[in-house]
Amino acid sequence: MSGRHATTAIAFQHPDAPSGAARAIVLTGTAITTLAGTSGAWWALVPGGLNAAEFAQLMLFGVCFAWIAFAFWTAVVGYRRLVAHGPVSGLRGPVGAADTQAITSRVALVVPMRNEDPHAVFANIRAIGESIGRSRHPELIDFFILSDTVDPDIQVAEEIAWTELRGHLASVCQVFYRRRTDNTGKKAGNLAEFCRRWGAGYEYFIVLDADSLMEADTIIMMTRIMELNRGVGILQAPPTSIDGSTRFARLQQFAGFAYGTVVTAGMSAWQRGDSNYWGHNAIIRTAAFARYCGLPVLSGTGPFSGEILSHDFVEAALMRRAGYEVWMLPELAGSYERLPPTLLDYAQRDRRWAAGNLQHLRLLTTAGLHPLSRLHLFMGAASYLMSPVWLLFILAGVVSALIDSTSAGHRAVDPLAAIIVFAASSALVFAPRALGIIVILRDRDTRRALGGGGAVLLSGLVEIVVSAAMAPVTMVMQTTSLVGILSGATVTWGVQRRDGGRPSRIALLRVHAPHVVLGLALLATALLVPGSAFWLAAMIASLLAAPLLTAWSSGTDAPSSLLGRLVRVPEEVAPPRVVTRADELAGAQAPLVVDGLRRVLTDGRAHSVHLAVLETAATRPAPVPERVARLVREGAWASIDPRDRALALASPDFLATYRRLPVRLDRASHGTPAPVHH
Amino acid sequence: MIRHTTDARVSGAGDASSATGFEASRLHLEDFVRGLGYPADRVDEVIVRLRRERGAMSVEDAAAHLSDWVTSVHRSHHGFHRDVTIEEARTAFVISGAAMWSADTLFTEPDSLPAAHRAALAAGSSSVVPVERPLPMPAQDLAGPRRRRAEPTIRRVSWVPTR
Repeated sequence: MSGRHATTAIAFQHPDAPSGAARAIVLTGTAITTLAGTSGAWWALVPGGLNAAEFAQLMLFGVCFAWIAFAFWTAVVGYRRLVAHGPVSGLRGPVGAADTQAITSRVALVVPMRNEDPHAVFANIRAIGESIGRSRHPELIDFFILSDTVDPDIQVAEEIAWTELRGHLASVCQVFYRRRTDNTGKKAGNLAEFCRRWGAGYEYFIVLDADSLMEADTIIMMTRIMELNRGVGILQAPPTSIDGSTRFARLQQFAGFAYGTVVTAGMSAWQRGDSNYWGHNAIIRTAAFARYCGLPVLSGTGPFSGEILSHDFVEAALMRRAGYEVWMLPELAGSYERLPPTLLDYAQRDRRWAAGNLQHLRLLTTAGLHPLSRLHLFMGAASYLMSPVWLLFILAGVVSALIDSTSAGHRAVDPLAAIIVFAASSALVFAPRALGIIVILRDRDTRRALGGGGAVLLSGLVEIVVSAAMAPVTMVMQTTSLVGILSGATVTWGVQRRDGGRPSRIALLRVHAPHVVLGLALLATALLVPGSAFWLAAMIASLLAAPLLTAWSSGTDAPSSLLGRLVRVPEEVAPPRVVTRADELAGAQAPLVVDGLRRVLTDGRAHSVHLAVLETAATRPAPVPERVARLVREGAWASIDPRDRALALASPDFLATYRRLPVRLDRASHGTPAPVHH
Repeated sequence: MIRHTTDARVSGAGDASSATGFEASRLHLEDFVRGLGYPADRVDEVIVRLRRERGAMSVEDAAAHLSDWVTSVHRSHHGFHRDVTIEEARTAFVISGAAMWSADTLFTEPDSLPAAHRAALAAGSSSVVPVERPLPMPAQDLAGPRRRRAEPTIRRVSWVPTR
């Protein structure tokens, strides 16, 4: 199969092999293409002379064109790498399967989680653990579940799930559970706390998100590569998107498979050891990370201050600043993640990422950063800033069309040049997709697995149509998010919804109101300025249909339906073992914990494990109000509000006192009842 | 103001409080076995074995067996070990996830348990998190000079000009 969907048997070239022309192709190609495109736009606009709106339009066009040209040349380089099937150059790699398995280092698999669905997360961990159990060195690998969960009911559910997981993996590896009593530094702080407390025990750690999955072979291979390359600080295994069931998620995962593969291969080819880190499914050299990647709190107030939200790019930049290389290796198969099920969930996640990436603008001047690290930080922010730039470009076009319409007999735009520029822009936008499809078509196994060449082509077409229809919608969503962030609206690092479900009509109308309003405004413009209708038609249709588009894309298709047979990815046709197992475990009935306090006070297992976990917390519990004791005595569980439940669950004395035993088992362990405050 | 509460534990015996004789004893035993972490579909099997093989007809009997068994696991793993209290035994059993292994676990000779299982039971609540092996992680100075890695390397790192 093609690209990163190949096996983990990766060929490596001599580490000091020359880097090749990939970087020059991307940077020079982007510069020349941008210059050519912007010249073309100037040629199209110049016949009537440039008014202020047209000048702004030209500048904004140059920025947009540079962006798509950069993606185009990255895809070209990626395509070249994928079809060449060459060895990975610049890294030492294991020689043969026996060498791959010859790891000697201890590795921690760390799973930061906060108010996630424990059943689904622990299913993933168990599937990974069972995969590790089939490897040669399970004893070198430990799991750390780093819980920042504050919801009392989820806390108890996590603890119960953890004991079961320990039982299931007892013969394989250790599974530790650590809960913080605060959320300092958010996810980055959670990982830093792991390093500060246990970092010296592990040469490497691998960060897994709540929805991450990795095959043991991949984990072992990554560890071996790190052992053989002491100059590498972070090695990222780009995750393949899997398990999408809604149309939105399936289209996204098809795009990730077909086009993301080409772009990721391109980024890896030209960035090499100056690459980036995506926050999960990556292995990190623990000592170097602790020494050089501690994140400061940014001074001041506002969106560019406070704790660093999107920590991954910054940690990669600091690692690179210290002289360690950061690699992204798309050849590493067996690395998976799941996608948000609907456009609204995607937008919610995107808003959090946007807040984090915007913060990176302040970090561009950080002392001593590698130029490519600065580029990564800039590109991360630019990926969100491009939406308002595109919107401003359209608005500038509308304004210049309105101005031109007032000048009778005046030829404002050279139509031939405009069409050529439009065609060139479209070609640049869609070329990465075309290259991705060609890579699939060249691979006979993949092509057949996905239903043949016709199905692959049709899938590509469907994805292009839907993504083109969604592009204006996401543009407006990102723009409104940015406005909200910059105006100081609170950004909460909320819980990501991962389980799908169709949004309500009210939610659709509320979220898409700005789209419909903008669509109506553009429709009015098109009616006022007939010449602009051709250029605005697609955007107007997309914006006005946004609620329908979201509702449609949140739906599902039967596997036997036309769309069910299209936009497939290899992991759908032949699911990897770790994915199948995780799905099987997640599909089993989830133990229900609706009231954590009641469960702890009435269930021996929950009580034992909860007290054991509390013993590991360093903080002093707050007093429990007397009313909680009274309600517990009366059995009025539903009357105890969540805040009081959390207070009671944090107090070992309270829990020991009010444990409801059928009979007293060990009188020595239950002395005088604990004091209660009121 | 601080006051001491009355002990509500006995009065909160739950469903079993209204049951009679044998039924109450059975319900208590079920509650005890479930509290060890056994899945619902395995509780009956464990109770049958407790009664048949250990003569454990009440929770006290079962708890005593648990305590004796975990003590013997500790001895098998550590050598000499003091007797384990019932609460300690229950915590060790629950934290290790031993109920997930099989219904036979509680009746297996400690020496014939897999070493990893013995170790998990012997670790008890101290295995929630391992012994700390700290690494200092200072916050970096973003305005200050770049900190170059001091660690030895086996090959050239292109970005570091001094190398």
